[in-house]
Amino acid sequence: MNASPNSSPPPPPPPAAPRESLRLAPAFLRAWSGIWLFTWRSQLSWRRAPWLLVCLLALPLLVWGTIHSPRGWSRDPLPLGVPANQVLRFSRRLDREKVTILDKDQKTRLIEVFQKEYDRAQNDGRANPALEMSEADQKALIEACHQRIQESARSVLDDRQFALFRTFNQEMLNTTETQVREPAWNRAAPFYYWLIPCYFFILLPLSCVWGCGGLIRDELQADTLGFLTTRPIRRAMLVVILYLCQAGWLEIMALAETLLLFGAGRLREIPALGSLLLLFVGVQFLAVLAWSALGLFLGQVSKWYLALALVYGLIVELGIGAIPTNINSLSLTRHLKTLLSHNAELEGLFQWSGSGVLFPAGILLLAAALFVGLAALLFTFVEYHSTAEMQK
Amino acid sequence: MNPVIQARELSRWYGMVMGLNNVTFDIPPGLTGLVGPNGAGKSTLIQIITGQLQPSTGSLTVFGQVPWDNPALLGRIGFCPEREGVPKELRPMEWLTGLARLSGLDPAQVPGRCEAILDKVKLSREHWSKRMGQYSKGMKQRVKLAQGMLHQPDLLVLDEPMNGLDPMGRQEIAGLLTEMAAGGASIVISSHILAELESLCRNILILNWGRILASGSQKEIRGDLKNWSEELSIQCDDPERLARHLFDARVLLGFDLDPAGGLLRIRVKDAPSFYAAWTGLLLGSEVTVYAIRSESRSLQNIFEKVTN
Repeated sequence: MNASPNSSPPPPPPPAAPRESLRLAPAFLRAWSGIWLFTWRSQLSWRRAPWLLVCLLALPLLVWGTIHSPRGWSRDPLPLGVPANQVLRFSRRLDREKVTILDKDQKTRLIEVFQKEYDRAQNDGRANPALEMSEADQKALIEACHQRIQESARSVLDDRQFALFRTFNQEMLNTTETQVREPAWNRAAPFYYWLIPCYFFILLPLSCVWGCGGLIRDELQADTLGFLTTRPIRRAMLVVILYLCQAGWLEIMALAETLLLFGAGRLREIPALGSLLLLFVGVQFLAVLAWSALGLFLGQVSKWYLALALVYGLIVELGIGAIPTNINSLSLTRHLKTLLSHNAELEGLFQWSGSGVLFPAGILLLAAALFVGLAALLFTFVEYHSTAEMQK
Repeated sequence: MNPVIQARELSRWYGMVMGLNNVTFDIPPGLTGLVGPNGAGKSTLIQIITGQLQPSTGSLTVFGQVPWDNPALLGRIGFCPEREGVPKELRPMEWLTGLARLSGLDPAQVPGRCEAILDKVKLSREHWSKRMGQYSKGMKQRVKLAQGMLHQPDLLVLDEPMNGLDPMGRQEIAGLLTEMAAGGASIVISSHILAELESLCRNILILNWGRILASGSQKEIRGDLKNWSEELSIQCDDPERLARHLFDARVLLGFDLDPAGGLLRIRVKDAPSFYAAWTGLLLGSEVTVYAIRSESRSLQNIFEKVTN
């Protein structure tokens, strides 16, 4: 039998040296501080900074860009239109009614009348002591403007033309008055009508599901899950800690986003922001907890967790949530709406029904606990391992 | 001495794919090598030992306990995976600090312990301030080893730890592992290169296709050769005739013919009996034999033979 020179067994190890004493006392808080360190250090890097900034600043910049300041808005406080267009429309009306059409001189003088009275009305509007005129004030100014136009037009038009002009003027007045809105809501519409529902019911859920759904999957993909699951900590507790750290991070990001949003809103002098801020932050806190827990659970169920979240949204939030029976309590957005409706402006705008604070808040917390519990249960019994081993 | 790891009829499937197939073995304290080609089932076994996977059937215990979701036991096990994955955005001290807290080390001890362990695996201090995404394979390997040793485990399980290390690095790590073993820790180390482990480990476990092909000390494995197939190369004038004759005599496990080269390679089950009857068999075959060569029985040869 031949044996290679290096095949001889190694010599027995030298006598054992005394081992250092390290006492392990795994505990929830210690484990949390470890995972929290990973969470925020991984997120706050120069490589991620541009992306983080874009995410944080996109919405506030949108608010700042799409909402006029009261002063900008009040440059033309009344929706009066363009004088030349009004005269052109009247001229066409004369033509249709087979009445003598306006000659060149009449047209010029009539445009001058419109221009003069429109300018005067806009000036009166700007002179209003309130930054934003009420609907009634605007209508009063518009009516006075059209009254003056009618009186001045008397000297420009012949009898038949004037008779038709009175009707035309009344129609113009009616049309203009329908365009008058409470200016604050008109100006702040992008914030109240669009941003808040979009933020709470689309952006926030997607961000949370995206942020928490990948907690285990991303570790698995990066081949780093084994470093966590081989620590002396229960798998269920590991999932709960991962969730708490990630949800905590999302809460901080959402709070920063809120402050930036409200800052942009304040720069644009959006009305009633002060009364909304606390409610907004409180509801957001609960929403992040609930949506993150949903994301965590869906992430445990499948790697297609974002698609699952969309299906969930369609079936539970849009479908079941719209059924006018008690079963709609399964919808989380319904409870968020109930909480948001405690703001008078939002309640007036959307007519979101529901009352109470404890019940919807409790349901949201319960849902969060349920989803986290299910995720922890799944992680306790289901193995998550790289498929690479199977492909070998 | 009580075994550190005991497996009984252990099997593990991934759907239709077999990872481990009904294996039974004991791993004693000390340094044990786990050898096998890629896909042999080493990583599966290691993941079961470290509580990342559960057996499909059978059982595996470490220090008498089942590893899955067993914090008390996992505190005694350290693990260094094969794959390169480390958190790219973190620096080694941050990563080790987080893992040390997760392991339950006393917060006051954590910074000192992390520094000591990084020094121990010889990761130069100049690299400590870099994010691990910038590390070479060898540097990642050292940090991974450091995290496995961080909480001073009684059992350290290393999956291909020498990958990416230069010869000097391998020697350093080997020295470190020997020192740990001398300190009383048990170490299971896997590799697909037997030579890496032959000089390091007293005990070897050879795996292929999910089966244990051999286990025990190197001496025991060599002793087991009696029960293994022996391979001989015979150069003769009529290899086909000789093959037919030996086949009829029922002494062959298998053979390969190379008539053009006048070569016959045979595998026999009971080598001593075969050699005792060899002269008679040769005379009976009436072929002229020019040369007979037996394969070497170094562990490397055995490994190549049984895993080929």
